[in-house]
Parts: sequence; C-alpha cells; structure tokens
Amino acid sequence: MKFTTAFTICCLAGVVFAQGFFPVMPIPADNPQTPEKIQLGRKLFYDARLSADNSISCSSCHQQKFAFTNAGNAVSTGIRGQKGSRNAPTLGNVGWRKSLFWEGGSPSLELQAMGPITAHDEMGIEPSVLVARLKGIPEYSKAFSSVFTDGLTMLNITRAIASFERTLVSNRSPYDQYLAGDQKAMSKAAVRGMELFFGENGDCFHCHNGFNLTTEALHNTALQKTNPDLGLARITNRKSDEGKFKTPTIRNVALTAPYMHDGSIPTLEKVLDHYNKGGEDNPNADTLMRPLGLSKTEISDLIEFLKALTDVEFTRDPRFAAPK
Amino acid sequence: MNKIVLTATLGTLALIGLSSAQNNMVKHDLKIYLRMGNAPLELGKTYKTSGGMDYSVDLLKFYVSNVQLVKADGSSQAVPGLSLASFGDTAPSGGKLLENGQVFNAKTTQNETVFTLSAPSGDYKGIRFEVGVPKDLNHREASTIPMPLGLESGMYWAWNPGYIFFRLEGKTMVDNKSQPWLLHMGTDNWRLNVNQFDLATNKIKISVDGKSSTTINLDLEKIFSKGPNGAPTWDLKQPALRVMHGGANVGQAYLNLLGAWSMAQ
Ligand code: HEC
Ligand code: HEC
Repeated sequence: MKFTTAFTICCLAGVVFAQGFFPVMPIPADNPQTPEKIQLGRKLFYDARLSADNSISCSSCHQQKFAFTNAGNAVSTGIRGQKGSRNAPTLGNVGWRKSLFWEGGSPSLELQAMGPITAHDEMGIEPSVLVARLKGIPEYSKAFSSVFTDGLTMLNITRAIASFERTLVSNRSPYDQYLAGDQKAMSKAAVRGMELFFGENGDCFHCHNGFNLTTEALHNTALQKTNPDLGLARITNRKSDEGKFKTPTIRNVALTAPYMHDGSIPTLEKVLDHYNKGGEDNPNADTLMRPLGLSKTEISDLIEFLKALTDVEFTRDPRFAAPK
Repeated sequence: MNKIVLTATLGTLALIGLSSAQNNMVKHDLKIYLRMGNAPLELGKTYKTSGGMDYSVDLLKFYVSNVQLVKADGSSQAVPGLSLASFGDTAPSGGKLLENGQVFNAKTTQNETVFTLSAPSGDYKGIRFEVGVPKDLNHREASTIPMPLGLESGMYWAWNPGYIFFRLEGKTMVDNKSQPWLLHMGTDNWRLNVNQFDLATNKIKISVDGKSSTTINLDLEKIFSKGPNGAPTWDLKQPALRVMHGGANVGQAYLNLLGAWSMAQ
C-alpha cells in the first residue's frame, strides 16, 4: 500500500515528473536516426518483396491497427501457409526493450530483424538472395546509396528497418494523460484498477513496472503444468529456465489479444482469471504466482485499468502507416 | 670470442634453414563427398527415411574449424582457420574475410573443398576437426564481423546471439502436402567433433605435399538413422522432429551425425 500511495502522490503532484516519464530512447552510435533512413525502413517494413515468395512483409504479422500485433491470431502464418508457434508481440515502444524475442536472446533491433527475414516459416529468404533482389529494384538501390555510404547490404537493410521501429512510440493513452495531470482521463474504476495493479493485492507491478510497464525480466508465469516451449532454457539449457519468458509491455493490451507467448489466453478476463488462480502447478512457477483472492469487482477494475493503456492515436498515426 | 658467437649463429641459422626446408608450409584441401548411403547425394532428389517417409535435401551449410592433423606420435598439428561450406546456396565470397576465414560455395555434392589447410609438409596419420564456430568467435558483434561470419553468411541465428553450425534443409510429404523440414544445429553445446585418424594401423595416411588432397564422406542418410528417445525411426510427420532449431531432438540428430563421417578411399 505504501508504494501505491507514493506512486499516486508523485503522479498526481507531478506534471513535470510526468513529462520526464519516458526516458530518452537509446540509439546505437553506428545507426543514427535520419528522416530519410526512417522512410526507407518504413518502406521495407511494409514490402512483401522481403519474403521468399513476395507474399509476406513485417506488417503482415505486425499490423498498426492492432498496435503492431497479428490481428487476433494466436500464432502467425508465414510464407507458404506455415504456422509458427509463438504470438507476435507489439512493436509499440520496442526501441526501449532491453532484449528481443520472447526468451530475450537478441540484443538489438538490427540483429533481431534477421530472425523473421531468414526464418523458413516467416519470410524465409536467404540474405544473399534478398540483397541481390533489392539491388535489382532501382528505387531501393538509389535510396540505400543515398542513406548509407556502403549502399545496399544486409546490415543496412536491418539498420533502416530498426530506425523505423524506433519511431514506434506509444505514449498517448488515457493513463499517460492521467499521469500528466488530467485526472478525468481515466474512469474511477480504472483508477481503482491502477491502485490494485501497483499494490500488493494485485501485485502486477513487481513485473509490469516503469514507463513501459515491464521490468524486462523473464519469468515463468505458470501457464501450464509443463513447459512445451522451453523459453529461456532454449538458450541456457538450464532446467530451471524452462518456460521463462520476457515480461511483455502491456501498453495497448486491449488491442493485442490473444495473450502470452503462445497466444493461449484469448481475453483479458481469462488473463485475470489465470493470475487470480495463481496459475497452474508448474515446477518453475515464479514465487509471485499464487492465488490472489481478487473479487469480481476488483478484476473488472483491473481490466478497466488495462483498457486505459490503449493509445488510439498510435494505431492511426499516419507516420507509422504503409507508405503511399 | 667473436668467432665462436659467429659460428654458433651461423650454425643456428643453418639449422633453421634446414628445418624449414624439410617442413615447408604447404596448402592441402579437405574435400567432401556428400552421400546418401552408398550413393552420391543429389540435391532435390526424393529419398526415404528408414521409416519409409519421403524427403529431399535442398540445402546444406556448415562451418569447419579447429582443424588438426594427427602426427605419428599421436600429437597434433593445429591448423588455424574457420570455413563456411555451402551446398545449394551461394554465400558472398568476394569481400573482406575474417583472418584465416574461408568461404566455399560448392557446385556439386562430390569432391568439393570445404577447408584449405596450410600445414608443414609431411605424412600424417589422420585429421580431426570441429563442425562449428569456436566459442571465442561465436558471440562477437555479428553486425560488423566479416565473412564467413556475420549477417550475410546465412548462418546467423537471430533468436540466439550465435551461429547455426550445421544447417540442413529439405522437403518432406505430410498428408500429401510438401512441407519443409530443417535441422539447425548450433549453440556452444553442439559443436561436433569429427575424428578420422588411426595410429595403430596404416589405414589412414594424409600426405601433405602440395599435390594431394584429403577427402571425407558425409553420409546424410545417417542423420535419420535413429529417432529421439529410443524411437527406431525419425518421424518427420511430427512437427517437433521436422523443424529443429536446437533443443532436445537436435541432441539425437547430433549423435546420429557423429557416425556419419568416414575417410573416402
Ligand atoms: C510470420 C509473422 C511475422 C513476420 C513476417 C514478422 N514477425 Fe516479428 N514477430 C513475430 C513473432 C511470432 C514474434 C515472436 C517470436 C519469438 O519471440 O520467438 C515476433 C517478434 C518480433 C520482435 C520482437 C519484439 C519483442 O518485444 O521481443 C520484433 C522487434 C519484430 N518481430 C519485428 C519484425 C520485423 C522488423 C519484421 C520484418 C523484417 C517482422 N517482425 C516480421 C511474427 C512475425
Ligand atoms: C512474476 C511476474 C509477473 C507478474 C506478477 C504479473 N505478470 Fe503479467 N506477465 C508476465 C510475463 C512473464 C508475461 C508473459 C508470459 C508468457 O507469455 O509466458 C506476462 C503477460 C501478461 C499479459 C499478456 C500480455 C501479452 O501481450 O500477451 C497481461 C495482460 C498481463 N501479464 C497482465 C498482468 C496483470 C494484470 C498482473 C497482475 C494481476 C500481472 N500481469 C502480473 C509477468 C508477470
């Protein structure tokens, strides 16, 4: 409770604080943001010619309308109708994430982009083939030569895409307006939900915390009794890491159903049921996973708070849409 | 006094000269025959697993590193270098290379060079090498490291900072539909040791003389010789056995693959 009070006071008191709520986004020294590069990255993000059979672009699975998730699909479909095994995360505020992919194995947006481009069940194209293909498209070869001194290379493709991704900032939700001092921005129920969220009763804040509502840490939230997807253990080979996944941001979460790394929970109501129950009996369950004893009203208040994290402007900002 | 020093120096120089004349560094190619049992592998051709499932191999890429020639006394002559060999894909080979880096794009599946070693001339009793990227190189910043590593290699594993060591892909039929299958083996745990040496008999002799080369068989049929968890065959119908990016099933493929190498006659 102490935490809640402190949090509420500082937020209510501090328009100044609220303006500094989002930290400065870290930009890699070797890939500075320029308007021209961002536009090139945006074009690439929306271009299906980046896939082996010209059928899939990044935007096929990361759609603006759904806060750059995959339109209600639990898992995504890549080239030749192949289904993956994981849920596409939102790209909102992705420039601040400390690591990428559900198990957090990728250190930068540049390197992460290699994943979907080469994954056989996503865009499935060899780097050598992609570079040759884009070199054959005059507008790309021209744009790359003007943006990068070394022109069109695989690395520069990933750099341009990453630059565009770093512009995908979502900070205009009712919650942000509330933090900025507009007390009417959130309903009473949402404010009660916020207090539960940041208090020991709801206990969400231990993992979903900070401006992007994630500590970036990996946890096993006991979705099932077993861990069919190894999660972090895929990298570390440690039994105790099985089923650990990165804490996602929950900004725009009302737009990003279904939920969790495998898309196994269809609605926010069911997500709350899962937490309220304390999850399944999983050997690696996080100690914070325990029955919460939340009442029906408390659950619906929490959901109201989650809905107040929706940034509608983000989903229709023309700067993030497909280039004309 | 001066004279003695001079004589000694001359003597040493003569000795150095002599030993380097005897053990010139010469180049020697390590070549490979890709096989399916007793027959040469044909990319794209349909084969059957021991369980009777149709499959083809369309692409094979792997790294060779930590090459050692085995001397008669059992000690080894280390050979520096890291190579990337590609069958069914063309990795960029013309640009800047890593120190001792090599890139080979095979035109066929038979008698193709996968590593060129540089070693003191002489007769050796065999060869050992690893299929993989040395730990020290596997985790360097991938965006700037030159070939055979880096983003253009086709081996960068974005979900895990490191490279696929052995990448094998093809197609199989599941319910009358063509489906890709793939084995991506990597991470520091799955560096594969290939040992082809024989100190007791004279079955293996490698003459590093600047003229000959050494050829090794890799029998890809062996990859599916045994299924995971004691299963007698490899069931490509199961998604987890069809698409393998590391994980437990790769462990069985790794064991199968250990027995897939032999000296070609
Ligand atoms: C076929 C669907 C699909 C396509 C195409 C696709 N993605 Fe994804 N994306 C996913 C899925 C699924 C994940 C989660 C994968 C995982 O964690 O293993 C993901 C994860 C990500 C992440 C990590 C986010 C985080 O918080 O960890 C980023 C960034 C990303 N994708 C960007 C891109 C870019 C850029 C492209 C185009 C080059 C792209 N994606 C193409 C489905 C797709
Ligand atoms: C122990 C840390 C932890 C706690 C406590 C926690 N979460 Fe989570 N949350 C996670 C992790 C990790 C995931 C992703 C799990 C996965 O996909 O396997 C997640 C996923 C979610 C998702 C789905 C997001 C998406 O895009 O799929 C929602 C919504 C959510 N949490 C809300 C909450 C709420 C509300 C609470 C409090 C009742 C809470 N969380 C408490 C760590 C936590």
